[in-house]
Amino acid sequence: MVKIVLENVTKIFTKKKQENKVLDDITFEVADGNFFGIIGQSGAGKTTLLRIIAGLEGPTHGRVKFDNTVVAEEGKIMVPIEERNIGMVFQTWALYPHLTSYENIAFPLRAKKMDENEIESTVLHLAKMLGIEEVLGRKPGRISGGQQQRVAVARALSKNPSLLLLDEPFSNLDATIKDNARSLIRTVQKEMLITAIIVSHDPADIFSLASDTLAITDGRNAQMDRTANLYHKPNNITVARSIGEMSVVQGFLTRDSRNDVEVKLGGSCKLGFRRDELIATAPGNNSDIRVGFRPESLELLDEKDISLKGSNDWALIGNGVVKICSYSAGIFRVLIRLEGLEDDIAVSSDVSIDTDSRISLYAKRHDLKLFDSRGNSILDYSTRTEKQGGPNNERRWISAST
Amino acid sequence: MTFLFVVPTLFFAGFLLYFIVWNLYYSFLDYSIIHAHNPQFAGFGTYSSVLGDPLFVTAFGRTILWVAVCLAATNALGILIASLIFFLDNGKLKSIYNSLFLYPISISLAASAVIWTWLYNPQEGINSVLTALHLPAFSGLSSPSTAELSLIIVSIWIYSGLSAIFYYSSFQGVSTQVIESARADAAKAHTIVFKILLPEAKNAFIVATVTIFLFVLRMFSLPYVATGLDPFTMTLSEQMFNYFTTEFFSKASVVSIVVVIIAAAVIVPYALFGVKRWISGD
Amino acid sequence: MIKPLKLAKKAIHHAILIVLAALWLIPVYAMLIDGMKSAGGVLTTPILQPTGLSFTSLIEVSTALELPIVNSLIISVTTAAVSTLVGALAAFYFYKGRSWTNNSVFVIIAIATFIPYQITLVPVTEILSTLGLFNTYPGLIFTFVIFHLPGGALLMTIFMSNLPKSIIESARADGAGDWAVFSRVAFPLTLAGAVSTFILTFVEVWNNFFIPLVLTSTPNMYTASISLLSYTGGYGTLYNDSFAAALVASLIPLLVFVILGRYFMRGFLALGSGSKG
Ligand SMILES: Nc1ncnc2c1ncn2[C@@H]1O[C@H](COP(=O)(O)OP(=O)(O)OP(=O)(O)O)[C@@H](O)[C@H]1O
Ligand SMILES: [Mg+2]
Repeated sequence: MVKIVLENVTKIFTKKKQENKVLDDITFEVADGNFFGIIGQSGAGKTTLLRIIAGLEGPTHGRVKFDNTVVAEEGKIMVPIEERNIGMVFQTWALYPHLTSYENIAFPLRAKKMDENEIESTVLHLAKMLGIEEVLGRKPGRISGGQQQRVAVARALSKNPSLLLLDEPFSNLDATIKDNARSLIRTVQKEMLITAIIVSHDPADIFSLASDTLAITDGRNAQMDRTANLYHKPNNITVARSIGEMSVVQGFLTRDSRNDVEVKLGGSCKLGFRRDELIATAPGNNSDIRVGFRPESLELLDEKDISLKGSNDWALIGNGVVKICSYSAGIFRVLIRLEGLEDDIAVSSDVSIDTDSRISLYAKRHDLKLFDSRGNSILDYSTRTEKQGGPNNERRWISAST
Repeated sequence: MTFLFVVPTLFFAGFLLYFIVWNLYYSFLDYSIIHAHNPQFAGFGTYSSVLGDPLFVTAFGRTILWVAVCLAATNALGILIASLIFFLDNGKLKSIYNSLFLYPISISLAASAVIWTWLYNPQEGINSVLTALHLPAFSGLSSPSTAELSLIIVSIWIYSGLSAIFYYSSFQGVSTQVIESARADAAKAHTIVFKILLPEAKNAFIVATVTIFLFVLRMFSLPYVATGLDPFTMTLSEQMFNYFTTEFFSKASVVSIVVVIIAAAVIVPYALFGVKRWISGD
Repeated sequence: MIKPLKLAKKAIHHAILIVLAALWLIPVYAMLIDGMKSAGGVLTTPILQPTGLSFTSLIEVSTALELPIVNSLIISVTTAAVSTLVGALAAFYFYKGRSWTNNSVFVIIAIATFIPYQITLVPVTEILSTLGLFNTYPGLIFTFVIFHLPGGALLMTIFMSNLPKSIIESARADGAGDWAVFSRVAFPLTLAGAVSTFILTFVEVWNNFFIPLVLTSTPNMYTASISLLSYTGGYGTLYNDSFAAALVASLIPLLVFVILGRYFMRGFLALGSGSKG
C-alpha cells in the first residue's frame, strides 16, 4: 500500500516545435488503500495522467510522490516504472501473445527471480480467485475477452503491487460481463489492500469502484471530490455531464430585493425559490443562465394528469411532445421537446411512452442545477439538504463505502 | 541506458564512415605504385587525371546508361507482372508467380553471369533456337555492339521480380471495395491499373527505383565474371577495381568518392523519407 | 454471350503469365539440365536441349567446391547471425524512441545500409593487411558485418516497430529491466522478422563476390561465389564444368529461397513498404 501525491503536475508534449499542454497544474492525493477515479472526456488527459503516475512519462513540471519518496519531478524520473511496484491493466490488456496465461501471470514474478514453487502457488491462487484456472495453459489468442481481461488483472496483481493502475479496463468487454468484472476488481482490491486508481470515461466504472474522483477537463482539475458529489454537486456542466446524463436548457434568473430567486424557463414556466431554499452566488440580478436536469429528477405525466399540481416538491416545467422513447437496462429514456424551449430534454421513465404523446414535465425543485452562461455552477450547494435521489446503485455505494 | 543497445551497431557503422573519410583523404594524394612509399598531397590532381581518363569516362557513361535502361525496364516489367498477378483469382498461384519472378535475386550475380554466358553462346545458346526458327542471330557478348545490352538484359531478368513485388504489395494496399466497385462499373482491367492501382503505387515506384538504382550503381560481378575487365562492358566499380589492381590507389579512391556522391544524392533523401514510414509512420 | 469472351480473356491472361514465367525460368532450367550433363555433353549439344544425363561434372565440381561451400557457410551464417542479433539490439534502442539523438542515429544507420560496399575497396584492404586479417575468416566476417549490420538493424527496427507499445510498457511495469524486456518480450515477438533478416543477410553474404575477391588470395579461403571464377572463360579454365559449378554454388541460396521464400520476400517488402510487409 502506498499513498500517491501529485503536486502541480503539468505535462507539455512538444511536437514539431508546437507545444501542447495536456495536463495543467494537477494536484491531488490518493490515500493509502483508497480506490480513486479519474474521469473526463476523450482527450482530456486521463491516460497521460495515469502514465505519469506509472512512470511511463515524466511530468514536465511538478512532482509525483509515493508516500514520502519523490519518484518524479520537473521532467525527471527518479524511480523508473520497474521499481515502483505497480500493477497495470491496459485498455487492450497488452498480454504477451507468445506466452501462456500461466506464463503471463508468472512474468512479473520471474522478473523478481522468485523461486518456482512460490511462483506456482501464487499463480494458482490468483487463478482460483479470478476463475481462470482452466485457461492457464492457453495463450491469450485462444481465450475469450473476459478471460483475457482476468488474466491481465491476475498478471497485474501477481507481484503483490502496492499500487494498481487501471486504464479503461472494461471498455473492451461485453456489457453483460462488465459488472462481474467490476465486482471482481473491487473484491480483490479490498482483499489485498491495494491503493488503486481507475481511469475511465464511463460513469458506471467510477460509481462502482471509486470513492473519490477527479474530473478533468482539458487537462485541468475541474473538480476533485467524493464520487457522489460529482454527480449531485457538479462544479460545471462538463463535469456534470461526464459523470452522468444531464439535460440543459436556457433560463433567465431574477432576484428581488429580499434575495429570493426566480428562474424563468422558456415562455411560461417560472420557478420561485426563497433565499433559504436556494442561494445563487452569481451572476447579476437579471441574467441568462443555464438550467440542468438529471433524468431521474424529472417526472413525466400525461397532459391531463394533474396529480402533481400544487406539490411543494415538484414544479411544472412545461408541456410538450415525446420525440422518441428508447430502452436500456430496465429504464426507458424519453426524449421530449417542450413548447417554447429550444433544447431537448432527456427523462427516465419506468414505462414506455408513445412517440408524439402530449405530456407535462415536472421537475424536483431541489434538484435543479443552475449554471452561468459559461457553464459554471452558480449554486451554493452548502444550503442544499443532503438527501437526494440519484442512480440507485450509487446510493447503495455511499453506504457501502462509509 | 537503452543507448548501450545501439553501441555495437554504431561501432560497425562508424567504420563505414571512417572508410569514406579515408577515401576522401587518399583521393587528394597521389598514392600509387609509383609513389608507394611517400604519397604526396596532389590537390585535385588525381581527380583531374581520373576525370580525363577515357576509360573512366566511358565506364561512367555506361553505368549511368545501364542504370537508366534497367530502371525503365524493371519498373515497366514490374508493373506488368504485378498487374498480371494481381488479377489472378487464386491466392496460391499468386504467391507461386511472385516467387517465380523473384528467384533470380537469390542466385549470385556470378552464377547468373556463368549461366547467361552460356545462353549467349553463339552456337549452343539461345541462338540455336533462333536459327531453328529462321530468325536473325543475336551476337550477345561476343560483339562489342551488343555486349552491354546483353548484360543489361541479365540485370533486368534479375531485378524485375523485385520491382514486381513492391508494386504488387502496394496494389494489395488499395481497398478491395474500390476495386470491386470499379469492376461493378465494368471498368476494363487496364483502366483499373492506370486509374486506380498506379496512382496509389508512388511508394512502390520510389522504393523499386532507389533499390534497383543502388544495385546497378555498384554493378561489378556480373560484367566481371561474364567478360572480365573488358573495355566494352566495364562499369564504375570495375574501373575502380581496375585502378586498384594496377595499384593506382588514389585513383581508385577518386572513383569511390564519385560513387559515394552519386549514391548519397539518392540515399540521403531516401533515408530521411524512409524514417517516417519505417518507424514513426504508423 | 459474355461467357466465351470472358473465358478467352482469362486464357490470354494466363497465357501471358505462363510465357513470361517460362522466359524467367530458362536460366535455371539451363543450369539444371546442363549441370547434369557431362562436360563433353555441354559442349556438343544445344544447352536448352535435355540430353545425356550424367553426374560426372556435378560430382567433380562438388568435390572441388566442397571447401568454398564450407567457407561460405561459415562466413554467411556468422555474419547473418551477428547482423540479426546485434541489429535486434539496436532495433530495441530505436523502438518508438523519438529523441533527437535516436532519430539521428537511425538516419546514420539507414544511410549506412545502402552505401555501395565497393567504395571501401582500398581502405578495407589496407586495414585488414595491417591487422593481419587478410585471408582469414575473422577478416572476412568483420568486413561483412560492417556492411550488413546496419541493414540488419534497419530491418529489425522495421519489424519491431509493429510491436504494440503497451506490451513493452506492461513488461516494464511488471518489473522487467531493459535486458529482460528485450530478451523475453521484444525479441521473441519479433522472431519471424528475425528469420527474414537472417535469411536476407545470409543470401546476400553467400552471393557476395566482390569482398572475398578483394580480401582473399589463397584458394582455401575462396567462397562459393568466387570459386566460380575458375570455371569461366580465360586460359586454362574448366569451361565445360561451369554449369555444374553455378548449380552447386547456387544450390543453398536457391533451396533457402524455395523453402523459406516467404520470409525472404517479407524482408524485401519490409524495406520497401515499411512495417506492413
Ligand atoms: N505521446 C504523446 N505525444 C503527443 N501528444 C500526446 C501524447 N499522448 C497524448 N497526447 C495528447 O494528449 C491529449 C490527452 O491524451 P490522453 O490519451 O491522455 O487522453 P484521454 O483522456 O486518455 O483520452 P481517451 O478517453 O480518448 O483515452 C490528447 O490530445 C493527445 O493527443
Ligand atoms: Mg485514454
